[in-house]
Amino acid sequence: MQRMAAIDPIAYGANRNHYDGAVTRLSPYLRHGVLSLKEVSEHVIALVPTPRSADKLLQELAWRDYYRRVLGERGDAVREDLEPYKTGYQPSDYADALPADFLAAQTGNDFVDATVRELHETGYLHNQGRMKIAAYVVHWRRVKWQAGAAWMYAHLLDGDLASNHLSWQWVASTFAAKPYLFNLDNLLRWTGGRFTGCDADGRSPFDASYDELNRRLFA
Amino acid sequence: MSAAVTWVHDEMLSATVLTPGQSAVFVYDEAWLRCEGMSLKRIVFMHECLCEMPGVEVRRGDVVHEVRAFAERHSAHVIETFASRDPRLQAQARELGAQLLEPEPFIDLPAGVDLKRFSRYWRRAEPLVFRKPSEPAEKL
Ligand SMILES: Cc1cc2nc3c(=O)[nH]c(=O)nc-3n(C[C@H](O)[C@H](O)[C@H](O)COP(=O)(O)OP(=O)(O)OC[C@H]3O[C@@H](n4cnc5c(N)ncnc54)[C@H](O)[C@@H]3O)c2cc1C
Repeated sequence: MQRMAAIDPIAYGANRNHYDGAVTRLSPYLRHGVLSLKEVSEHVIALVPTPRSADKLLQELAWRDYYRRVLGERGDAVREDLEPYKTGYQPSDYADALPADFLAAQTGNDFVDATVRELHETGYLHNQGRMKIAAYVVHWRRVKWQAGAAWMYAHLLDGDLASNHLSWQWVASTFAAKPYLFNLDNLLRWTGGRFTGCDADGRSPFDASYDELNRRLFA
Repeated sequence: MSAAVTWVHDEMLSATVLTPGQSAVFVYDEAWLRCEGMSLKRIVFMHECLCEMPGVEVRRGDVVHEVRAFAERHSAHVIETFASRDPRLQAQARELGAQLLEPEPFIDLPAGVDLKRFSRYWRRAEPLVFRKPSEPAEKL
């Protein structure tokens, strides 16, 4: 398969977080069993001098294995909060549904709108895009992670109950010690000049230090 | 007449899962597609995978009903499929009384490993992941 042949584990280790990095785009094939994690990991190990040289890629494959195992243990409970939010808010403080401007890619924020459109049009988002749009939904718009997870699951080619719902819970902090946040510096760093991160008025809701964002967004 | 048929579900869309000479069926799970609002792109992706699996009969509707009817048409008493961790597929396999084949695991992690956080899993998984294929399993 072409995508298997294109895997570059060393480059992946160096730049996987970057939008232009050497990510594999194998997820829809792994999700549907066209390829197995075992096959991919053996192929990857055969490409490098020692397995350690492919540590980042092998660890990401392990994340998929981990989430599948959690799903095996928890079953449909992964659809509910596995733990309380660590944001100072109760579940009832979060809205049940995604806002209409978000779903229509009309928030005015260039990063948010382009990401929504990209998901709708391609069925794929880079991991950084997924993390950041999930954080935007849950922390900036204060919407229950379940609403975002259901939306993303429906549109992704790799939509997977384990990786999707548990990643959303990780961002939300209902399956992590703290919520995932990003700021404008971080957004600009990984998205390689694609976005300004600004709203229509030229100001960015992400432009602040992490301390300031924590104060602004959490109770 | 065959003794067994294969139920191909949406986590096993590879020709390698097929047993030569054994009939196989895939059913688009209508309730799941509708209830989750699955995108057309996702259905097209699954369709493309199925095109690489010649001989698999493709149907659409209620999975349990369709697979059962398929087995009856082939006078099969055994329905084989791959074990899954997805509760939807697990429930369907249970209802069908399917015989479960275990897909090859990523790593042979001992039962009972603490999965509360990735770091706990990773402590146990890491030595297994980084073992060269030729190295014998270490006792963990
Ligand atoms: C909010 C959110 C939702 C997500 N939903 C899904 C989903 O429904 N299905 C899905 O397969 N992944 C999901 N992920 C995980 C990850 O974003 C994708 O697996 C990855 O971006 C797919 O692109 P790739 O194949 O190019 O990945 P690569 O970076 O090339 O990684 C190779 C493979 O490793 C696995 N992998 C990599 N990163 C992760 C991760 N963080 N968690 C789990 N597995 C990983 C995937 O199987 C991937 O195909 C989600 C992440 C977030 C933050």
